[in-house]
Amino acid sequence: MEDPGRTLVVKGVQAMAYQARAEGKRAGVTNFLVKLRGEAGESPGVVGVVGVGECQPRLGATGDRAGESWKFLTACLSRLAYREFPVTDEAAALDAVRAAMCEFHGMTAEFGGDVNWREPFRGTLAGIEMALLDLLARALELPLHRLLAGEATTVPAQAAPVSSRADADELREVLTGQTGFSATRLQGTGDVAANLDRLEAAAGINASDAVGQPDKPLWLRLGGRLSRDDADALVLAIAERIGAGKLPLEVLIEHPVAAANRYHLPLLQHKADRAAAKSGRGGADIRIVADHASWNARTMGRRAQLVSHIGKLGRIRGPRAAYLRPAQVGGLLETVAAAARIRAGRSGRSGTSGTHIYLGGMDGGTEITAGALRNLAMAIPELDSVADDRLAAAPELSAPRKPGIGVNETYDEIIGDVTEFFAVPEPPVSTHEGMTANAYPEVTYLQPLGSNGTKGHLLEREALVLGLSTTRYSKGAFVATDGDNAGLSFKWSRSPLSSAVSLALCTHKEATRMRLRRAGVPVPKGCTFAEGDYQAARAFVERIGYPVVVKPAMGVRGIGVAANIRDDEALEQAFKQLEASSLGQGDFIVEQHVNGRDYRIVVIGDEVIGAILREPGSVTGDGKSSIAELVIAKNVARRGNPHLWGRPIKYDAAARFQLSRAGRTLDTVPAAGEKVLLSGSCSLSQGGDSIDVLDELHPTIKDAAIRAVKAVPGLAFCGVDFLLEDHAKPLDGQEAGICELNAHAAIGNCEYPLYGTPRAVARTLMAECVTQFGLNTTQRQEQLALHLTVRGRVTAVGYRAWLRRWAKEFGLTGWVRNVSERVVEAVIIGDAEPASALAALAVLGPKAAAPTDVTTTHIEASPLASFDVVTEAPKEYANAR
Amino acid sequence: MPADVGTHAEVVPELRDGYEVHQAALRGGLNVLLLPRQVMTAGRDSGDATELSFVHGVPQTSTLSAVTFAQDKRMRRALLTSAGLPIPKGGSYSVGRGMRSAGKLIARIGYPVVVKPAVGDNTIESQTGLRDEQEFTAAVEYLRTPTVERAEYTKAAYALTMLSEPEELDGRVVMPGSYRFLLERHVSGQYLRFLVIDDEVRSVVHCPKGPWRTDEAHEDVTATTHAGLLRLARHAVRAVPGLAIAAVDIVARDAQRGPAEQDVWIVELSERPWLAVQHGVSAEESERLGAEILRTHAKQLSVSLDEPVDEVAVDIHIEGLTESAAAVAAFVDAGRSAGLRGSLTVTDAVEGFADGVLQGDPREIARLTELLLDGRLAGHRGMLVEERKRAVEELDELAVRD
Repeated sequence: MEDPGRTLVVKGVQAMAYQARAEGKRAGVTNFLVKLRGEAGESPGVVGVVGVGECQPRLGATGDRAGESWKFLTACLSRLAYREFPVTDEAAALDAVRAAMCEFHGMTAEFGGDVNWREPFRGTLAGIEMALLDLLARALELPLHRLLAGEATTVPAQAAPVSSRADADELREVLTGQTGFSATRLQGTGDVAANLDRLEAAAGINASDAVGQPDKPLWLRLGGRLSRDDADALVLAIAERIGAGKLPLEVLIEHPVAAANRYHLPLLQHKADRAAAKSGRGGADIRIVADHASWNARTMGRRAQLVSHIGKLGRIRGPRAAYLRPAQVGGLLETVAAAARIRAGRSGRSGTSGTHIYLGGMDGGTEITAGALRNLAMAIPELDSVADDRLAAAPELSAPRKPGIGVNETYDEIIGDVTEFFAVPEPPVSTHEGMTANAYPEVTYLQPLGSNGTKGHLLEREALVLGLSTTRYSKGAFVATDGDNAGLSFKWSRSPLSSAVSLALCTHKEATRMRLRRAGVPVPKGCTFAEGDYQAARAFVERIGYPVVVKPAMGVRGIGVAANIRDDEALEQAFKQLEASSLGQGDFIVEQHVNGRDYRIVVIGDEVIGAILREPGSVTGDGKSSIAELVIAKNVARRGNPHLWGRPIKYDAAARFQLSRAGRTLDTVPAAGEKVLLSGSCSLSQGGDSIDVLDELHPTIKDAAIRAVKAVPGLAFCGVDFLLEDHAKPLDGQEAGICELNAHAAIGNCEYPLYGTPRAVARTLMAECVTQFGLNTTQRQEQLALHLTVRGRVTAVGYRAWLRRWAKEFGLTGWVRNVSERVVEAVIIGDAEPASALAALAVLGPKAAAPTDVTTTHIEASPLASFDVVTEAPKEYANAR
Repeated sequence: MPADVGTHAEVVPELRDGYEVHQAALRGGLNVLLLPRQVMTAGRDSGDATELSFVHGVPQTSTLSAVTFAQDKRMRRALLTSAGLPIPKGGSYSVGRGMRSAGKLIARIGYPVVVKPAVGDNTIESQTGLRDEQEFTAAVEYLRTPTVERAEYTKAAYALTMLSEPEELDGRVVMPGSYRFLLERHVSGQYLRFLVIDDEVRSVVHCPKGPWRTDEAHEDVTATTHAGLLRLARHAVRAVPGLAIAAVDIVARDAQRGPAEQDVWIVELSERPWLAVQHGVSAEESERLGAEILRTHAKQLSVSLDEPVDEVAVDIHIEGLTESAAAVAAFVDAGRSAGLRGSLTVTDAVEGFADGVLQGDPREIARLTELLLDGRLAGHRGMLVEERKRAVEELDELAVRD
């Protein structure tokens, strides 16, 4: 920014909650990205500066709470919007940040930060502070470490720990390449002997000629995996091995025991010191590396406080290495202060060497946190090193020169993982031809069922509201019964309406094509050829003419597929591409390419009951938001859709290709109404849109879809994939073809279209089953009172508390109790949607549980006051069953 | 793709069910349409014959969800248990992380044990009588071999899509750690195979070494099996709602005594009839039961059958032939050896069409067309075969006609 002016006004705030990743996999935790857009107060409208921060709320570790932290964050950001900050100099800027943070600390009580919950929302506050500091540092055109008055120019960095799964050769290879680092870090396990073996193996490699660093310290990262006794045994064994010369003089043990056993750390350090002293080698040093909670009396817990207090009397000191993470400490400024306190309070006491201080982030941070840590490291005097996986590439970090934290929004890292989007002014709205994306409130009850949970549950919900009883065996399978007739079985959308034969036919592309062609239904002309029989394929292409498609006969996920081949050269290219693909070893299909849009038409019996147009993932510009913001807004809208919530638009190779082909980047701001493609595939799983078109579907198309289904014996429920130029026009006179019949079509895509009218697919399918098999049902029930019998490994695993938690979350009343060692029973009363969803969820149970089946029956009961864990079934309900 | 076994190939066990129903349909005077993976429709209509349909001999009245349930042994155990029927102690585990839990179960139930794949075709790849940890781990290790490399492995056309693909472990390609197996206590006694069609037991076969071992003759014991065991088999099929036909394996000390008098266990339940077991008694027996399956289904759907005959004539139409001329030559060669008469012509070399007339033993017509569609006729393969009944007449021995 050329002229920052004397003040900076926050013109826009944004926050995004996203599922954090560690090593590319979802880490099971949520982070928040904070973005503040400022403009110079004296020159409104000029291109401003943007500050970013990353909150890493981690429940107990940071004093955050699921759900509450997000509300707290948005409340803080609402206050920041349109606020003015002085940017005359560093001191004024820092004072303003401190004042704002002080104000936010004062708000915590409103969000449940009561007295029993010390220093609440530290992970959230740290991210807000990070964004503010970044914003003001950029306005001052200073790197963040300069704003923090950092004086260091370089700081040592630790290598990433070597995986515990690495075999001996891999360990040797990694350590040989780490000679520049000051210590060897190893990922430990919960097994003492395995840890000792690993330490010895690493020490042996370091002492070997290939490395030549026999004294290099070892650092074992344990992540709280050991019991107290095992931790004691480990330090004693390490001391013994140091004495025997099998390990180097210095060994660091990071987080040996779980947070609940944190109180044990001073005792463990004491044991380590005594054992090291007795080891017989001068200078032997075993350090326990503990997080900030061990130094913060307010957050360490009562037991740890007591031990710390008594320990001082007994000259037992705390751990001798601190691992500081700003999200746990409560902010960057507070981390600088905490380091100073630790240094002052511990260093040189009783003739021991000073406490080591290390800096790092929580698992699952993005480049934003890494950028902040890199700056912060320069501002902590005498920091021993940075130990963070994202900053582990080189043994030394140098002071950054770019303004602020030096990192911009990490949209590319999080775009497919965003679950919430908050902004002032309002975030962009996803639209399609004037329609806004549908919101489905029941998604709240369906998301806990996990991926594919919706499609496994919808039919059971319909069965239960019709008064049928069910027995569920897994997320996808259940049997419904009226108690008089034989039960009806369902697995995903495999129902008793269709025959096994029909699926066998539909899952074979060539068989389907032949069957449909003989039935007079439009199908692309095509033929299957044996592997390598290109001569015959060429003759076939000559007959049907271009354009054509070449694909493997038993293909998956579009591997080896080449579409819209228009000449001989492209055909030969497609053959080569097929041969090179992983599916090149088998039959292949050549068929006519149909120029059409992709439709899914759902047929039950003799009727088309749903139809959607599927379009490739895209966003439509509003003239203000970047493509990244538009994608995130759309993904958040998809999160509100029970069928699409786990199927976001991804920023993958296909999206990058589409954007670069259009000369766009994630930062581009498309004009209002401009459509930007992000995928070449219409698959909803690849971020495609679903748009209901049933009411506009031309009767001739409906008729063809019904004829196609009738052509397959025993097929009563089917998703017809139709390529059409225009769904509202007659079939004659347009290019069209049925390319697939899905005998086990997903129910959710027409039930929950992103745009347009939802269609009751599950209800129609269940009604058809009930009619066809003559089951006795009741009127549809909006309220349910259900009795659940859950069998399997369901006791002594926290099952009842788990069920109660979800019942409360879903607003249901009732009770749950243990019946025997392998049986739990429960009563659930409330609205049909949450009650039936909880009945489905019951088969999953908490992590340690393994239910085999859940039988759900109806009872006569009125809502209760609460949902309780009981020991005896309340009498009135026992009688009602 | 199965190995080329020449033009005199026999019907392999996995094709037996479809083959028997197919030949019964020809003998009963029906028109037949055959599609890949043993999808067969049959009827008397003048257009496509679609009144009756089968896959691997399983009729259309077996529902999609029922066969899916039957293919999942964990579910099958739960359903049988819910119905109060006796099954051996056991559980299903993953070949990776599940091994520890499997070990705990063995500690409780003791050796010998049985190991088989948890999902997919039933009665195949059962490894029984495993006596110790070494044999148990070897059995699980076998199941880590990718399915395409396992000799006994078969997969029904309606099977669930395998989502987990083989992965590399320590330099070799194996089934992923999430692949599951069923572990059960090995129970001793007479191994009995019951075939239940439309809620009636139509056959009981004593298989001394189990149904998967054919080195010792199977014996038909239908007439002498205790009524209580017949009832048990029917109840087992009813426990999986929607199965029109099923094979049930029961182990009992004595087939002539009832379940109340002895320990009995249901150890298998398959939605496929697996007539290869009855073929182990005699060819006539599996033929009789194939005809029984067809007759039952035809009666339910009011399709009439002619009195079975041993010589039929059909107009044949084939589509999707690979290397049409060579395929037709191979088919004709095999047909001639089987005593068939008539002729076959390549009518469209580009799309692999052939048409002609076949006359002779319906068993041979069914055998050759089943093999052709399965790619087992000297390596040639077709995608569709239509057989339409015509009058028997004087014809020369089968030949290729230009």
